Amino acid sequence: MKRVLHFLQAMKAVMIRDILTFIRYKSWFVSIVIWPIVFPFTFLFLGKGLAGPSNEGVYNFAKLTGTTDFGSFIILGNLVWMFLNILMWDAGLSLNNLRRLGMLDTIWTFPAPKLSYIFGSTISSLILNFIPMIFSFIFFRIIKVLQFNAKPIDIFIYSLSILPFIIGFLLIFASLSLRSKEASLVVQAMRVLLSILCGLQLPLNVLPEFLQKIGIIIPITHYINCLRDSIILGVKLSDKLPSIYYMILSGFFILFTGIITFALVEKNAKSKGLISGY
Amino acid sequence: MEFVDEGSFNKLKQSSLRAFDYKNLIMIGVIEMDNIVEMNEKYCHKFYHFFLVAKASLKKNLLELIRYPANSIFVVLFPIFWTLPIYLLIYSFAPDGVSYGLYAYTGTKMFFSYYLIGMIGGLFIIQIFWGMGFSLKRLMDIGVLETIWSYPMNHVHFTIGESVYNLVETIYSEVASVLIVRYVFGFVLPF
Repeated sequence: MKRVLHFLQAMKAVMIRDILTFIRYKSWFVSIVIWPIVFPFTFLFLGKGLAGPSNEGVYNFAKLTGTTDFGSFIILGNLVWMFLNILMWDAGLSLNNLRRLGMLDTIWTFPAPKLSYIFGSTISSLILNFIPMIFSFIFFRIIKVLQFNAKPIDIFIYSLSILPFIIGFLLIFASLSLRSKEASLVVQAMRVLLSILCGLQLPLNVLPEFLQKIGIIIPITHYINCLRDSIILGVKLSDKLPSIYYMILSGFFILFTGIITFALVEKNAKSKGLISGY
Repeated sequence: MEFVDEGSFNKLKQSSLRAFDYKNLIMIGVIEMDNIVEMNEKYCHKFYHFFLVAKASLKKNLLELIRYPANSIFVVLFPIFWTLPIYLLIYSFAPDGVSYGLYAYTGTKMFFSYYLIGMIGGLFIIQIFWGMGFSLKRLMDIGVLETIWSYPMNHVHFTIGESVYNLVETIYSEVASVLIVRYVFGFVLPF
């Protein structure tokens, strides 16, 4: 019990630190209000340009996705992609960012469980970045580009089901970024891979069959499919139960793998002296 | 005359030195002054100063690129990273690159060629904002801006020097990406 409290205390401290840093720099306004609204427009207008003024170019897209509502399809995918992208930069690279700022060795010597650093960063990042996504969602709903046929509780359950996977994934990511000193390239590669393999910014069916098979293994693909089916087509939660089970089971497996990976990398970093220096 | 201070000159004058020595001393002073003026012209001329600072900035950035070789690969891959999802989205609407939607708006069906021109301009803008706009912020983040800023140089020249490097990087990246979209993705070039 004492160990759990110790862990939670350190995690809380990291969360407060991250939130204070976020508030300290006023550019947060851009990331909260402007960026999530402006970014999806690039893809939305691209879709509009391809579809034409009276949807004359949408035939092939509808054949692949089962809907002619390319606006909702593109916006939902882009918002999820943006959310993951921000999480990777914030929480996934949290240790690497500390190293770049020359603070990692100081923080690392503090007698606290190191795992709590990543958990704290992940949770603060989840809280800080989920709010802009809601703003953006409401904005696109108001301008009537996005339709909403789902129950809000269904969306909440889908989002809760994907949470263990996201935390586990970020844990693995942060561990690996501790090993490699220049990790931004990995983020760049990872966000494109997720975008393509999970069908976030494009229909998954456009890919070759073997890539589709890889994509369907990733829980994020199930998550975005659940969101799109519910929000655009109004599919009920009960029809999506297999996807929910898959997201939860694979999520906990990834979370467990993440904890083990972190423990191994922590040991390795200590023996090789990877903490200090950039 | 400014080269020899007035006190020393008077001292010399009061001593019983010959007129030749005064002249000689003044001659030496004039020659020294000329050297200083020449040096000032050489090293403090704005253009030469800019050239020196820009060269140093270029060298610094190139050394950094060599130190982290993954970054040099990234410079080429960056446009591909951004283009690939867009290419696949276009493909989902118009598999052969022929878009009737675009035809209704612009009068041309060839989406890939149309998009490529916009892509080149867009990448330039992205690089300008991220590369040039954030060059000083990046130095601040890695804790070297203070040291560089305290160096006796023109800060505008240094910022322009950083921008010149980013411009070189952008051109390299653009050429590589145009070649890749032409020969890997099979885009038809509009030129």
